[in-house]
Amino acid sequence: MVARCNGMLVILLALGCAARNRCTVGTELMPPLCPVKLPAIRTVSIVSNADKSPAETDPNVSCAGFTVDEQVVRRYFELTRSTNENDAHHTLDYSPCQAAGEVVFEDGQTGRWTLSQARLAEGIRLRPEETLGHPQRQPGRDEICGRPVRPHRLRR
Amino acid sequence: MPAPKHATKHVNGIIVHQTGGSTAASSLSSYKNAGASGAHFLIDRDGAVYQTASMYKKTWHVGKLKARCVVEQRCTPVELAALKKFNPAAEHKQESAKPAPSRYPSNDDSIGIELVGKVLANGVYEAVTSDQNSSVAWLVSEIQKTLRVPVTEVFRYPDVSRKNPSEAQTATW
Repeated sequence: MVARCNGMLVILLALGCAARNRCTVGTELMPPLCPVKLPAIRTVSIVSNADKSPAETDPNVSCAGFTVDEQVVRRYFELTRSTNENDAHHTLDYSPCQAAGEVVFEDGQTGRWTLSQARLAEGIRLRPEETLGHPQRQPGRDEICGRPVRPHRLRR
Repeated sequence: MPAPKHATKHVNGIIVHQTGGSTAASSLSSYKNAGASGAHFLIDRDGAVYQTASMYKKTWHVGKLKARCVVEQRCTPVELAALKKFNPAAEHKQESAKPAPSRYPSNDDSIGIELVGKVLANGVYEAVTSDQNSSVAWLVSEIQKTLRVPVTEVFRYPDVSRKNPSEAQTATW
């Protein structure tokens, strides 16, 4: 497991064929995805929208059209699944455009999230992280994945 | 080692990656998972080289291929029409049907080299160490000679797939 994943990451990606109650088998283009149950969401706040990653060096890339609202973020958490960071790193597409914010769950856990364009998203770190681990993997070192928010639900 | 898939028929290229993690141990540990993705070689920060899969076995280290003809400005009108709509999965499918070197090397015909290196807080990969660059230069040269891989077919991962552009950018060979 990748050491930098010492928190909980969330990834949103295409998962149309995944069963909701068991893990899928990974392929060379899609990591294995497992069900995970998150607490109900109390509040979602959006800190930034249409951010361009510092890693993107192409001056022609604009992220001005990539914004999400609270409804999209809530839907994102509804559809999350877990996977491991190594497989996600090798298989998933990167996008330079991001939105970020914070979430508070009904049980008091809080976290920060980042959503990126290109159907996938990543980057939530929840506290305390150990409450969200998948039983087959080390707590706090998994990623959570979900089905895509349909493109028309994002303001582009 | 990452789970070897079926045997690679012919090696047409080499792809250089960074792991995204901060230690070799974390990558080696992840390879223990059934069906794990991973490359054929792992180079630690101190330049130590680990072979994690046979070069004659396919591993999953490359994601969806980008259209090579776009970068090389040689797409046919039919290819351009197919690429007009942004659809990485369809683009990968179209590329996979082409013979090498019309497309970038894929999981089917490439050797993967991972360099231990994490993503920094600003989203940019940390710099490859000088020891890693010495090792990757030696390893690429040996693979090229052993498997007759052309010098033009050695790529950084973001060149062939939609990946963080800073990954392996400071790797040299």
